[in-house]
Amino acid sequence: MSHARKLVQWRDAGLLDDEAVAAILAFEARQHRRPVGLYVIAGLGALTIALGLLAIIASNWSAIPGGVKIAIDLVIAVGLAAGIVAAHRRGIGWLREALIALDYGFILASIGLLSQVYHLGGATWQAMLLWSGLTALLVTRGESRGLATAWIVGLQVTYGFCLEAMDAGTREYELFAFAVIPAAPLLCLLASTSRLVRARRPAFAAALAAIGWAEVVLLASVSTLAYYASPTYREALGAGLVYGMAIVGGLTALLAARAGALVDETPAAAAPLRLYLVAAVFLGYLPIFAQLRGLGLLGALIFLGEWALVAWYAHRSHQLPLLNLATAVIALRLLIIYFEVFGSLLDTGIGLVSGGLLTIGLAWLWARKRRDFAGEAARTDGAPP
Amino acid sequence: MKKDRLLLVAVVVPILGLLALWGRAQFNLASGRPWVIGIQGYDPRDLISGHYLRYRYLPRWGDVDNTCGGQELDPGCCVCFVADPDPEVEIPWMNQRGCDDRPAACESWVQGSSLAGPQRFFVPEEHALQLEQALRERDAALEVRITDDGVLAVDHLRLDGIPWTPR
Repeated sequence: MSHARKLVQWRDAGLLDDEAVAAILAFEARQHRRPVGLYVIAGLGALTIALGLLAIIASNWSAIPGGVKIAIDLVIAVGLAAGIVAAHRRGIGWLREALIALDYGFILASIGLLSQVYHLGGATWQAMLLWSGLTALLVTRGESRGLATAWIVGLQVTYGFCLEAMDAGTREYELFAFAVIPAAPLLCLLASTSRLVRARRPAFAAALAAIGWAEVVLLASVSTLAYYASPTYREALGAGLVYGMAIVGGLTALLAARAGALVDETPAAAAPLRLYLVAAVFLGYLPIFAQLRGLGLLGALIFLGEWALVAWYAHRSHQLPLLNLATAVIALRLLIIYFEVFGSLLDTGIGLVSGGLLTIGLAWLWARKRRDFAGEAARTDGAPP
Repeated sequence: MKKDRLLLVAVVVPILGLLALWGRAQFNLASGRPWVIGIQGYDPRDLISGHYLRYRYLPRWGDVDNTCGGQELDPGCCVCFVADPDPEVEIPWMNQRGCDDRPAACESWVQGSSLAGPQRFFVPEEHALQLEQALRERDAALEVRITDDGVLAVDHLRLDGIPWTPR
């Protein structure tokens, strides 16, 4: 193993004793006993089969009568159900996870098949909602992160179809659908703070938090573009928008109150987290609610401010890769601002000089904070002061 | 043991759901009153989209004026079906009214949302081109069933009055 040689070097240098080396090697050996590769291969296999089944159904295997198709489909569904139970009883975790994933996709394919055979004219959101409802209990019996991720993505796609259907309704529904888009990641984050979910389904809690954060940051970043153009929804500040914002505001407040649960091991990171959440949601709605338009520079500054908060959070929570990412994004955004301010020679010159100074300042701050960060990490890892 | 029982419930629920969906679709087809409604391609340039035919219903309005939605099928109204007195004519007379205004003479009564706008009829991929050509050249209609509680279920496609089956 690659780390074994390093451990010997550290032991020879007097950094570790024999006991510590043995304990580390035993820990790593236990970690490697988990069949991660097997999970990945089984998961990919299950996904491939599910996609294949969807393609076969979509291509209309016309030679078989509809009733026979559905009967075969139900026999396969029963077989999968029996396989899941058998794998569970024999304690073959990877097989149970793979079969649950396969069954999850298969139920959607079956709903599609029934729709084809009977020409059910319902909307896509209805089929997706039925699928999510029928499979919720099944998928939450799983314990792997891959399955959790697939389920959350499935739920969010369903949510997207529901919002799309709402968007096609009256103006008030359209505004409401637009306003509640951020509810999807916020609900993920809220669910990830649940003690029950964390205790019984740690992989689900981790997947919920990862997807929730990625989407919150993405939405917050994208929403700053609204400062550039005239808001699409400027004509009507209807009740739909207000209701939607109230729901998202309530979720944000609840999440801010529970921020401690999102940063268990580093309580100091709760403050930047709260600030980021509140700022991202408030500033995301501001251009639409306050009818702001043509304020590109303000949007760019808000983008930089939000990513500075991400960097602050990364620093407080000792996440060096996230700190590096935040710094890189800020530097890249600054670079884009240079091009945005190109205009007259004077504007271009001032923009380039101030932008260059900002970038150099950022690089200096990043290098310094990185050093501080490494020092703090070493101290918190147990070295006596 | 409790965990085992919950898993059993979890694997059975989707199967019961599929069975219910199948049973409901079959019941609607078996119990509904049969009608034939004319159809035409939704977009004359592109009748077939992927694996389904995009069409819209062609209502045969009767002498009585529609009191809701005008001459276009309206999802917010309801449609009354009355059989033509001539038994040779299969396509019924239709009349569009408010959903709380069902005339006693209606033999079937269905929400306009089941008929209005673009509809889809799934077709085998390999027959799509042949069907597209047939739809341009021949009279197309759908055999449907409408249950007493107003659920519309699509049965067969007809071309020139003959049920179409993939060959």
